[in-house]
Amino acid sequence: MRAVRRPLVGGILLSAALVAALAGGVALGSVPLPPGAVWSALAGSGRDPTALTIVRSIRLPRVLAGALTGGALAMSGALFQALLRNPLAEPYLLGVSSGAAFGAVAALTVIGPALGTLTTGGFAFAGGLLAIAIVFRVAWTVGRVDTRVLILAGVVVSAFFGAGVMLLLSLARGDVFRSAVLWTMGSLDGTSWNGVGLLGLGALATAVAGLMLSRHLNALALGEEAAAHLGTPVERVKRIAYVAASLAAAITVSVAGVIGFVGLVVPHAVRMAWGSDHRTLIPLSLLGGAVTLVVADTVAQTVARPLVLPIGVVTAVLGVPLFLVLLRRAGA
Amino acid sequence: MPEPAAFELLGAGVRYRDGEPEALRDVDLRVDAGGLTAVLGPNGAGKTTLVRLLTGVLEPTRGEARFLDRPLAKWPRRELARRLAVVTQEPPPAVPLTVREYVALGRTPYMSPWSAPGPAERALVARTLERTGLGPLERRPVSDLSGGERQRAKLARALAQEPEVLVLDEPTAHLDLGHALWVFDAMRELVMQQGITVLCITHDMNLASRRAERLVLIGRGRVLADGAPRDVLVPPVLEAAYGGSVEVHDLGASGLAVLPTSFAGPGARGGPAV
Repeated sequence: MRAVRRPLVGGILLSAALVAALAGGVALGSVPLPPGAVWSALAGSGRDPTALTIVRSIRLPRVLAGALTGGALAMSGALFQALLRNPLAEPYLLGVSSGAAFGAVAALTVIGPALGTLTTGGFAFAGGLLAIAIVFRVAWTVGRVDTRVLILAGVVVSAFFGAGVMLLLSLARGDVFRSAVLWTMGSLDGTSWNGVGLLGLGALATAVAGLMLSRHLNALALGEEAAAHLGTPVERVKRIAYVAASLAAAITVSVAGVIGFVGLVVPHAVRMAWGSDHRTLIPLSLLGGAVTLVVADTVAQTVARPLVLPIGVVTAVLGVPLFLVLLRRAGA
Repeated sequence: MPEPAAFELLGAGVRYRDGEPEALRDVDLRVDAGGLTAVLGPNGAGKTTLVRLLTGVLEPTRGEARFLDRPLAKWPRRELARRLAVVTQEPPPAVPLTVREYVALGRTPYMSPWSAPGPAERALVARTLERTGLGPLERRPVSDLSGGERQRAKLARALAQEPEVLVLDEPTAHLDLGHALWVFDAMRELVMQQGITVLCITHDMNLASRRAERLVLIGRGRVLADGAPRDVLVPPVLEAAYGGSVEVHDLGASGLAVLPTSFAGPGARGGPAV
């Protein structure tokens, strides 16, 4: 028998954890700084220009980008899982990640690294959107989205762009190869305030869509026909939620690369702890995803200084054992 | 002014794909408010298509389908869900839900995106759980329920919609004798005590003859017979619909007992026209 769920307690716990994670992320980084210097740089009274730059132009946008990326991915995953009624659904299901990876790798190899990170991000975003557009076009028949076709089309389009990435990589020069591969592993290196703004839009879109549609997402757990009998405009809900969740995934991929695990596992962990009601699942996933990614990024920067590990690797290595413990407990 | 019909089909036909025969054709059916109507028919006769037509999941390719004197296509889904509840044969929920959460989903058509359900809503769900005997199970996961308990939970969810009309698609499938009787008694009680109009698809002719005042027999996409149990459940009518031969025994107040004695093989008479 299950204890009474207290989503409000969860919200408070996760908010506190997020504040702590953000503080930790600003205090710690790939370059060690004394806490006093960090504090005075934050307060604007610092005399050390290097510390000022590190804290205000690097660490602050980086932790915020991490929080927004994690939050957007977790909410996007929660939406996909609700729409597809499948616990294995994740934000990259519609081919967003491989489409974006193709765009980014194309930008890095064919167009040349000279164009800078903004172009890489722009191409990644375009590639992600292209993949989503193809998948939707295939699954969209006579005013309705066929879920089975959608999943299949997503898998196949992913494979196609994945092959494109391999092709480009096999032809690439050594240094370009390395940066392209690193990009596909996900990284918050060099995140600008522009990136933070863009991520904010993605997180906002998923949060608003998720909360507005939460009662319908709950009803969809019973199946599309049962949800329709409960007054849910099924096709409209699917369209809005798919588009919001995919857009958010495309934005995060274009800013931070491919970061697996968060979108798949955070919503599950939240469900196990605080229940499946989307009115609480969506905001708690936002908080949970934010905490997870900020902590993972801080670990990625500090654990092997001066090396910065790929963040996707850290989320998986830290998260999987934790999740397995949760799974085991829930199953018992 | 005459009472509005709960359901009305006017020359309704459904064709799922071009070139295929119609799953339902030329169906004229009027179900008045009040009463328990049971829809019978062989597998593949078009019963589920009929339910989908009556509940607005499917639009007729010919003719018209009306609910409470208004074409179903003109009903906003949410408003429809406050008047019409449907118990279908649906897969188990995709996420773990407690019985209380499951039944509370019946309140979906009354909820707004921003406000949390208040004490009145919670009291209504609690009352519905009590009434259907699910009170002691409210914290249990739906996945742990037995077939009979799950059917009870589905009915409770439908009742939480506070419907005027209730449609059930084979509510006694996979249920044992006692649970099947409970379902029919519950439907009867809803009709008598709350004035809910109930339409139920079933294969259980014996219980239907005992508890429903009207039977509609569907075969090969058409209405083959429509009337009181003793008029519909007669050997020539049943044999024409199902093929083979049947015995019907009148048990007086206990209803009718229908026994098949031979079967002409699948699709021989009653299956879909090919």
